[in-house]
Amino acid sequence: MGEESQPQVGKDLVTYAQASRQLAEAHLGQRDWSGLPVPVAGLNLVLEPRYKHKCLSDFRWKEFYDEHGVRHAIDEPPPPKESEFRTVNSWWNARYQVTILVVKNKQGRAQFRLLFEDRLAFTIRTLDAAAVWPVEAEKKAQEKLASLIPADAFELYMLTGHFPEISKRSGLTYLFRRGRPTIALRQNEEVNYELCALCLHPIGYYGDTWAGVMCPTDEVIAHLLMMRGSEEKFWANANQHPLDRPAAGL
Amino acid sequence: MKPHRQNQDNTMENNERPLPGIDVLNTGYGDFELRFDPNKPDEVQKAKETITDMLKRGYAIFVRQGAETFRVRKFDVDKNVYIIGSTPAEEVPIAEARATAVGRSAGG
Repeated sequence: MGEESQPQVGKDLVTYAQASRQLAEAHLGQRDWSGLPVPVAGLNLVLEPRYKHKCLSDFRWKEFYDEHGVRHAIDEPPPPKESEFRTVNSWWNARYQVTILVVKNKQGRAQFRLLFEDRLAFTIRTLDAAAVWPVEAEKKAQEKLASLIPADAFELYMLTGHFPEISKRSGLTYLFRRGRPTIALRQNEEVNYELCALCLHPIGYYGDTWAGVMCPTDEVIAHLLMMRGSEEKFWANANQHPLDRPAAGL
Repeated sequence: MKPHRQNQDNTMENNERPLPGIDVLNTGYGDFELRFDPNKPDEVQKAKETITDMLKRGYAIFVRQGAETFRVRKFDVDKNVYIIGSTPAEEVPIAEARATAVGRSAGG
């Protein structure tokens, strides 16, 4: 009896990627055409504000099971202490590679703080988020991408993880990258300079990572189609990161 | 409109050309294919409802016309065409298009 009620790995207990696939399957009937984002323990799920299941941002896992089916509790992080300071201004300092914050307390006394953004931490958190992407989904997305771009560009993508395309409208060059923001450049005979990294995720993303809720090549397809079909909306919807910031992924 | 799984035959009975429809970027499937047979009124009706629902929910739908990609601005339910511009020439019949839909996007 006791053994029967024990949850079984692969049947009752699934991985993040399996959950992603099963949720997508289960919710098709409810017209969730894009599937459902899967929250990841320890990562902040940021969803498009008007998204139907926006409340998933608040979901927190309370337990997980290891590969032997043994249950482990996940402790709630303590709520952040209320600070007497509030941020009144902030900017990125490219020379020192830090964000400088100006904060004020209730008496109006100003201080400054330094905020370090760690590229390695970004990379490690992105690896954590990658657990939600089913490998089959990535393969399917790659098949789709192959149908959208020239064969040589797709080969380049498979070999290096990125490929360039020049916009017919603006003449800008875009460097589409798997799992990283798209780089926009101005390249012609007279000038050659980079503009910024464009970060955009369909439905949502995991905070302080480069990972979206969809597999990386799906995001490349979204960037490519938006650039080709609605370039101004691509720029309007994407976050524009300076290239020297960790979020740019260079 | 019926979901089309990988390795499933996606051609019409005469096998002349692939069925039209929409590929939706999807968290679990990567690219989820919804196909319909333009000769079957019930499937066309479901396709119309799906397209209308997607646009209402803020999905960006893209179609190719020649070598160009366009974002669908509206959908004409009576004429069964995607509207990609402001002139009658800028209409793409749903029965001739394989569109791609992308859910609402958030900057990261």
